[in-house]
Amino acid sequence: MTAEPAHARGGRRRRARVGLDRGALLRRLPALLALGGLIAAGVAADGGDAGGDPSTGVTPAAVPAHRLMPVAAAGDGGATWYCAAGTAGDDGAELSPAAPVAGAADEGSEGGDGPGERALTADHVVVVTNTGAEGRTAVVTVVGGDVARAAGPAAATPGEPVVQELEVPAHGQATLRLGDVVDAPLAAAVVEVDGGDVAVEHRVRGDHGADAVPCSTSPSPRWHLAWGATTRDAVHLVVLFNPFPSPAIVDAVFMTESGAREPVRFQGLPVPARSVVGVELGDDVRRAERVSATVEVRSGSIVVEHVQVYDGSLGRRGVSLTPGAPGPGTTWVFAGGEAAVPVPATPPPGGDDGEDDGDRDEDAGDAEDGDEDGGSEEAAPDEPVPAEQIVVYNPGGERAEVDVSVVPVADEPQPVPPPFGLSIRAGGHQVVDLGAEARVPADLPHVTVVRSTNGVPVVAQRVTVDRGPEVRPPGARRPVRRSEVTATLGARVAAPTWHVPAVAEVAADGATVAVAVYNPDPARAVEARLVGDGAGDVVGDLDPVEVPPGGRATVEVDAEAVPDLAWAVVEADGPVVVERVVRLPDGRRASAGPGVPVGEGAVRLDDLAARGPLGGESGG
Amino acid sequence: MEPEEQPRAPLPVVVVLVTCDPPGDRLDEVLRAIGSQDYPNLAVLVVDAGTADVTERVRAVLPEATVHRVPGAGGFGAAANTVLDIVAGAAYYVFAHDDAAPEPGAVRALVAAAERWQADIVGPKLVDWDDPRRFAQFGMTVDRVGVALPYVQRGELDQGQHDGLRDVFAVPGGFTLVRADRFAEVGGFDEAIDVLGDDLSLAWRTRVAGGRVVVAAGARVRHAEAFATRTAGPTASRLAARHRVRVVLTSYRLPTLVAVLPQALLLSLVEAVGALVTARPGRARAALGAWLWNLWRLPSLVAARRHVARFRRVRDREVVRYQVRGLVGPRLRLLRVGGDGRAGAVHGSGSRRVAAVPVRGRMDTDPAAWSPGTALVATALAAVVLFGSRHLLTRVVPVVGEMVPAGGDAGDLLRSWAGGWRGVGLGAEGATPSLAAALGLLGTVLGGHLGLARTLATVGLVPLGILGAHRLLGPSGSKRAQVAAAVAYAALPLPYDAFAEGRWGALAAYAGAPWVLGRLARASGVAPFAPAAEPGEGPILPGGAADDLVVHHRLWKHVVVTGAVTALAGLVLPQAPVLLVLAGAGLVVGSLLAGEVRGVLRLAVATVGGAVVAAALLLPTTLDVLRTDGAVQAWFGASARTAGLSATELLGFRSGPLELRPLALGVLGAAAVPVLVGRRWRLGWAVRGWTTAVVAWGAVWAHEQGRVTGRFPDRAAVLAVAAAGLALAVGLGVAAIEHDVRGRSWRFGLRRLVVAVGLAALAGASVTPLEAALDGRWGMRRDDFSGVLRPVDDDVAAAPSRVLWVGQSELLPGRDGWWLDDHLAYTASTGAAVPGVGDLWPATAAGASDRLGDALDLARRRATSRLGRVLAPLGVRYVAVPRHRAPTDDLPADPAADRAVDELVTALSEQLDLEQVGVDRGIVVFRNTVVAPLRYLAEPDGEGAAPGAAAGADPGLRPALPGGDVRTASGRLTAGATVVQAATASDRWELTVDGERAERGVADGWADRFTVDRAGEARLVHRTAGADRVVRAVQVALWVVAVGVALRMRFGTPNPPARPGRRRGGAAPEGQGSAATGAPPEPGAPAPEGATGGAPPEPDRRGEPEPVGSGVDA
Repeated sequence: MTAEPAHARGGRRRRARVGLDRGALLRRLPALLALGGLIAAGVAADGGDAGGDPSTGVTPAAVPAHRLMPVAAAGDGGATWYCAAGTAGDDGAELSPAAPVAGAADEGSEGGDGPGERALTADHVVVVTNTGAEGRTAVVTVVGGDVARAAGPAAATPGEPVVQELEVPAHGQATLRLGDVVDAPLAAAVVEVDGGDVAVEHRVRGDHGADAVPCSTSPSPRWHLAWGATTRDAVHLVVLFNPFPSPAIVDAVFMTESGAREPVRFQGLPVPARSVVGVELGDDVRRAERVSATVEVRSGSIVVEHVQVYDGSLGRRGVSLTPGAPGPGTTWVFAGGEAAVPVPATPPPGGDDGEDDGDRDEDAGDAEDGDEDGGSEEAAPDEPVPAEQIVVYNPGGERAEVDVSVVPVADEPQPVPPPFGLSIRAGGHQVVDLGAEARVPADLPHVTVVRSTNGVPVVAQRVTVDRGPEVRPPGARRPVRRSEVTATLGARVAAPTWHVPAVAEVAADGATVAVAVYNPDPARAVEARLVGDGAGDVVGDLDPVEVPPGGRATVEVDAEAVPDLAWAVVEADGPVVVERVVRLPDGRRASAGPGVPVGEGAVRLDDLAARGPLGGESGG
Repeated sequence: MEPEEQPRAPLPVVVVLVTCDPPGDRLDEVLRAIGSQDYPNLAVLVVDAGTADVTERVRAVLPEATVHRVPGAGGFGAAANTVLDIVAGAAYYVFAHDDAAPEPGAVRALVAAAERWQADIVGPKLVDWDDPRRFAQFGMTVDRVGVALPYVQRGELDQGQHDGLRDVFAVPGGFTLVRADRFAEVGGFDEAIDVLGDDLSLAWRTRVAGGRVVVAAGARVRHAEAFATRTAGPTASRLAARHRVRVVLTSYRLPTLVAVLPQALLLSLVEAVGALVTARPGRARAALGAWLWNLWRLPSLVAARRHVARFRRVRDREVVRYQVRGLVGPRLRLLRVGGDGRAGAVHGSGSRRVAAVPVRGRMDTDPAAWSPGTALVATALAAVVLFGSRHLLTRVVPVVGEMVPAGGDAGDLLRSWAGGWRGVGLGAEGATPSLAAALGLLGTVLGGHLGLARTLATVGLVPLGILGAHRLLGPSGSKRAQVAAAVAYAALPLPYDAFAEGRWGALAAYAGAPWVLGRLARASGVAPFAPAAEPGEGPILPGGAADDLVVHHRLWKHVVVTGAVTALAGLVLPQAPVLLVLAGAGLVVGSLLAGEVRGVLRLAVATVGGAVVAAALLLPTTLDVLRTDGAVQAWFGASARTAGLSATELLGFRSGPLELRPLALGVLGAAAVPVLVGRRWRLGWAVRGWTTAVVAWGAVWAHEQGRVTGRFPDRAAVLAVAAAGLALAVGLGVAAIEHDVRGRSWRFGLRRLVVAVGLAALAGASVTPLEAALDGRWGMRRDDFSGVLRPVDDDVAAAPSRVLWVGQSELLPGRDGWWLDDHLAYTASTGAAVPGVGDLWPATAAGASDRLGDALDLARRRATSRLGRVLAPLGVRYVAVPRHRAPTDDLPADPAADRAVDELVTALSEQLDLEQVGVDRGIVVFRNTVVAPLRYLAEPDGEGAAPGAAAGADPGLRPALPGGDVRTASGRLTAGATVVQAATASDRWELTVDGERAERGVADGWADRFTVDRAGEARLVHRTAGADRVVRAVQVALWVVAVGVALRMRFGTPNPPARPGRRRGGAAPEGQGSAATGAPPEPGAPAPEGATGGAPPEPDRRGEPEPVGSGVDA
């Protein structure tokens, strides 16, 4: 040891001064100051820079528009479309024999093959519309499938997918009936297009009506169905389409008025690779007036749609083809809308069991003649009676506070009704029947905006049950109003360009097509026009028209005046929401739903609403 | 006899026998010293074996001495044995060299020890001829194969610290007292040993005969050790080796000899190889020639063994008790002390301290030696490290992050390094990382156990770093300082965070940083990392020369070794030269801040030169950097996203998942001690250490806070430099306590308060490794994806194809890849599920790999729903997206990156030809349903089938050349076939069909295409370019040179001393040890009383202006 204690040296050295040497301190001072200063500066700079942590201030990534709703590509961008729900066989899809008899009764129908046996027909047709100036090739892979029964034999093993090429001429369309390609109870299709400016729609047609919606442009691991019914007049077929090479395992939970149900077979339901599986909801959730559902895939992705058929026995009739919602959102817009009376109520479960099928329409007609609760002003016998309700489903884990705003869009200024405030528990749903609400004037043309005010995303669906003018069926004791059911999801995006495909297809048999254009901008008017052929000719009255902030322009497309009109395109100088409404000759809405926005320039309505009320909303 | 004294027994007769062959210059002084002995019953016999008569010379000095001439006696032993013939009645003989001068009373002390302890051989305390305060030798022991080891350190100051030493195995010749009857019994010296080894032989045989050998501290003899140097013929090392072997062969009993002989032979062989590697052919010749020399004298050996057998009284077990255990350790110590521990040792060169072997002594009084306290702490630290690594050592080091698998056997790795083709991504001409060669080499050494090699190369980095911190403070001369530095370094959470996140490079930086810092410090030439700069500067280290690393070496050697150490770290961390520059910059700035300019230039030269040398040692990679822009990314670090760490977190060395604990900041408190209380070199180097830390901290902080953008090495690697600087400061704090606090006052003042707080802070900080050690794997997961991906591995290995890895770069195997966007990166392995060592740092070999990114972009932009068809021509069979580092990993990931990965997985899961394969929740794996071989038959247009196929179908590609691996392929081809290899086009690929080369072209603008004219057996190989072979040969040669230089610095003879008065880099004159004190003291002068640490007592300069950081204490 170099330094010995002073005492050990016999006191030869003077005692050390206590503390630090002043000289040494002076020499170490620069280093102390410099090093200490640098470290202190660093720590101080930390304190002043709260943004250093990247975990703060990270905004959620925007979900691409094509994952919110079907979106068409522009220009050279190719796209893949998934058309899930529909039947292919001549006999439709055979449903569960164990289910109560319901769906066979119809005007002039003899019903099924016997007690407990039913069949669903929703003939599946794919329509590929090319609005561009170049011809396109669409490769359609058709997959056959079957209905999975709750009991009885397992669904048939799907056969190999069949690939069919469709040449879609410029400014034209091509149609493929899937029943012509495969022979299977169910058929789904993947349509791969080698370029943009193409929209793919699919249509189902059965004994009780028809419907058409755009095919999905994105699969998803999670789908939500806001509304369906398993009453005895209804067949509710949920179609799970797995176009991918990986098998999928599906879990599902259903919400009814009486609470959540998780049927055993929906926990780990297999959906084989490249297959389509149908599930009749009535097998597992019986006699429910309103059923919401969430289908979750443990791995992989699927496409979910549902077909509902109402046989009219309880006052509702029609075929509704509705895509599932791939995700909830905070803002939904229904650009078209009108309501005069409440949606007819359904008799309590079991109340009509055993009633003769032949009397159902008549009884329903009795009900439709104004016996229902919340009766409103009765329409003239020669006019259709629209009814409309908004179903809001909260699939999340938190309570959602939702405003349902009815935005009047009549020619004459109308007072804006206060929004309907809903407080929806986690997993629950609520319904606003616009025809039953006094604050919504009857027959008021309106746009409906559903907005979650506390940020909890929801799914909104609109259900219409329009009744036509009074008719007296042969043998009926009194005239009845025939009804037509539609169910559609709201729009999630606004875009400057929208495809309105398959105009000629849906406008057959005397139906008419109307296009409603809603401007969600609360401050700026947009100019919109509707073109309908390759030359860009204007169709209808939208030539062009200025749509005021929060306003709506509607144009009736006279299909007879333009007999070859395969499609139409709405072009606007700002983001708009477009809905296509197909009416039967008697005025009932047979199909209503958003068009197909073009991804270029599309904005999410969630984002627009986050900036403030949409055009026409209360406070907007 | 004085009349008043009591009558007592007459003193035994002692005959001092001085052997001259020929007489040396110091004979007169020796005779005078013997004549001045106070032992009354003493006779002096001078045996003159030389040719010239010394009788007159002897009589002139010591008339009562008897001269006996035996010209040509044949060596010291033979000359000494004449005493048996011409002397009678003596009780003891003292065999003296003519360069060993006893101090007065030495003989009396020797005789007294012999009588008291019943010893047959008694050795004195041999001290330096010129500086008798310092030890020359004081007893010695041997290992099982006869390697002699001194008990004391040559040049060590004699402070009485070894005076308790008594029983030794042998005593070095010089002035040895031997009981006469025992000498006669064992037949005297072995006359076959002319010089060197005679003392060992005599002592061994004496012990075999049941005798006892001790040393007497009271007998001091100045010894010049010049006897052996006067011998002609073979060199001293050769003689020592021969005689050592002879002693071993003649002394053991046969059963023992049978066990020892193979070990001795093996060690001689190892020594010879080592000598050849270090360019010492003479030593190699000596090691092996010793056996031939003895074999040639087999009859003499047999006779000697028979003679020993006659007087053997004890078993070998009794003899071995006094030997040192172990074989390798003693050998290394032998190398350090030089020669056989005596001849060839460089006096005062800082020869290494050897462990105190069996008996008493007060070695713990030396601050540079292990004490019970320091040994306990070090043992505890080692136990913690071992405990924390237990599962990694006994099971497997998971494949996490950069800790990728080897990727083949040892041969594969070496071939990969030598081949010049990298399979990563879509393949490219480029240098496979030298790490592959190093791991392959290590695996070869370990008998092909690459797993063990990988374990050592990962787990071993932690103790290596801690050892580096320990060694960093070696020149301080304080074992406590060394241990404190090691504890402080281990207390930092850096390595444990690195393990948890699989940061191999950070671990390498942790292991290398203290060594690099130490090399720079030594290169600086500033005390205590160099000998005293000038004569008269006095001692630097307590205890004298405490470490051989303070030996002067030329600057270029420091540069080479600094570069070599850096390059070793650079095998795993390509940015190691950058860290070297950072450390050098810190030391330079620190020197200026400490007010010391000396050493700055040397530091700068060592820094820059070291970086250049490191670059040269990693030559192929360096050339890639110079040739390609992409390699710069790997060399200077990826522009990875930052974690936004704050200054406080960085001060706590938080770089990963370990939470920052206030106790972890305790190291800072301990490191502040020397800055507050240290003086001179303690203060100077503490400032340097702190500055280095601040520079490193500042760099990381600026990057983390976004104030510096661009490429940046792994933050944990940069923080390792700060950690080393801080460990240096902590160690210097302990040195400062020993030098500047203890003894300055007994009152509890500010200094002691600072010390107490610092020590408490260090103790508190030690919680970190304890906590991290609990799980036995330093926070690493217990599993990895290589296990769950085994089916994938089998698939792509059976039919060579690729696995495309895409995801957050931190989660990719190798933690690096080509960037897809701000969050996602990708890489690809060929023929294996997980990229191997050869696939690290893919950016150095981009080739056409951006096509993989383009393909992924197609899917992300929804431009395709059939990505499999796009990937098939690229040979991609699987796409793997890691969500975690391992199946059981639960570390949080960057939320933004997580979202990006979610979107990617969604896009991939929406591909109609990618099948998701369920393997684990932590990774998403897709199998391409389109057949995607690495080599396939092209369609007539020269392109693969898939690109031209109709949409909607999955036609796949027709595989070709199914046999082989990444670098070779073979199979049968038909005439007219066109083979495409899904790898970046290179004219070094060659396809031959029945020996005839096929025409080569480029397919799709990026891949190789070969058109075959005729059917036959085809073989596809990659030909290594001649220039590449030369580059690798040069790299090997450079490594051999660097290793040689390092070994010579470590074990070799120091450079000649600088001329007195000429300062060359602050080096001290050689031969003066670390305590050049000017003129030697007068012969016979006693050791200065109160001398501490082998140096003159440090002057008490309290109150005087002190040269801060002057590097010297005097």
